[in-house]
Amino acid sequence: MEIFSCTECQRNHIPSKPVCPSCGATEFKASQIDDKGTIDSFTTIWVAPEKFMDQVPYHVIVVKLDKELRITGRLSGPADGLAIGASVEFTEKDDVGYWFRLI
Amino acid sequence: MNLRSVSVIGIGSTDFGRMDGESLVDMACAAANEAIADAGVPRQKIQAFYLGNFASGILVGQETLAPKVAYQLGLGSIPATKVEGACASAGIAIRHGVILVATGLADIVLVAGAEKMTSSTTAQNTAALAAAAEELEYNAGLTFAGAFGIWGNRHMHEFGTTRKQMALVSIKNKHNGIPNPRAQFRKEITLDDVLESRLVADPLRLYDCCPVSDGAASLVLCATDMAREYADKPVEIIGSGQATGFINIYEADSMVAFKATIEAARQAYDMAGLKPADIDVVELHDCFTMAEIIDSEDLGLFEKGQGGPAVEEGLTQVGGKIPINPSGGLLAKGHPVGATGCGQAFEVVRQLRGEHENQVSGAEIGLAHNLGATGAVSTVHIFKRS
Repeated sequence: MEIFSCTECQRNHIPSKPVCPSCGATEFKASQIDDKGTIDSFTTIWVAPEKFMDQVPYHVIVVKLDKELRITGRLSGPADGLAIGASVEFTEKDDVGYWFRLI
Repeated sequence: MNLRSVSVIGIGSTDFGRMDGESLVDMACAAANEAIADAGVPRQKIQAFYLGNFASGILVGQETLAPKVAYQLGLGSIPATKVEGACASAGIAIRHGVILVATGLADIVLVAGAEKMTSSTTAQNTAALAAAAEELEYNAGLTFAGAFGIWGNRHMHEFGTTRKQMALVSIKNKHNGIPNPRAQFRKEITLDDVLESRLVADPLRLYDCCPVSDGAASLVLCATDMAREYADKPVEIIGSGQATGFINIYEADSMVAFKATIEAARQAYDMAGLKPADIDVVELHDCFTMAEIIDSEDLGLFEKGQGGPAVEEGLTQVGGKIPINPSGGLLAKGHPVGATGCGQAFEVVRQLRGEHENQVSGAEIGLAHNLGATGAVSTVHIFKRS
């Protein structure tokens, strides 16, 4: 997974930021972190906006990553074992956002 | 800077619910006109107008709303300004009215909140509400109920909050709504009703969620030293706070607390010189059952993690240690998003005037808490019987 580190204060961000909220700098350096994380929390959506209605039910998850970062994303593949603390792996990023699968 | 004391001298509200045939401007005018009449203030004396509204552009294709309402009310050339902070829009309107009077820039200010939602489909409303989420989470298909589902699962995980405790919030608030003629939902529900209602966003079911509503509510604010010229029972605003929190879930410092609420409450308690134990009645932002549990902790009414047990022990019922949402709250009274903050203040003022349909006996100090978006903004106001 790609993260963005402030070149002034070194704070890490995901996704990229217009301005570093810690120091106000606007230059960031991209780097990679481990694709694996754990689920901090999740929900299964049954009532969705129109553009997502054909995907119901779908799982939105909040994943704890390396470097004390977290990201909200979607779970793809089988959801057996979906629980707080479960291990997941990043699979791809598209228009919907960050996708993960349970491992 | 010396701030002047500010009081509420008039209140007005439409019913909340399905208001077929009433436009957004119609409803805002009805509530505001009622507040002006209740204050007995000549409309020429009103010096500014703030209107809370969330999504009029998306939901009814109308913008530039505040000047339209002020014009229809015959308020002349006074400044008329819409403020927006999703579900906290009307709390922000009150906050700005308070600032204008407290600083002496105006003596009398009209504030209102209004929203028209039932003419849109569930999918349209869900999409409009989801627009208050950060773009990344919006694109991922996160809904408001989904956000509270995520926080709810985490709260249950960290503190052992139970599915039953969440349901009891809904049962209590629906019960509270029964005597309230403004409430959208006025019948008892059972534990089975909640637990067997359809899933919206796990673990939240339909009866964990507030309904889609139309409605408007309004207050007339006045410098306290002039309030007795108009009102027999002015209610003083002794504390006011507004704060910005995290705009998404993944960067927030906590998934079981809202920083915006904690900070807005701190400001309001400090200004009032009061602590949570001094509050007699609370109207807080129960857009979902889990929201009431989290809010009650963030406002300091209970220790973090104890909001669930507090409901189960009956501490938040009318007659309990700290009655929460005797109006029925958003869950029963309804949640016309941009109107809610003024609707809550309307209910608290009626409590402190001693004229509420579900009166908390001897209530002298009341608190109204409004929360917007995924915890991005909150207002807290503390009111005192004069």
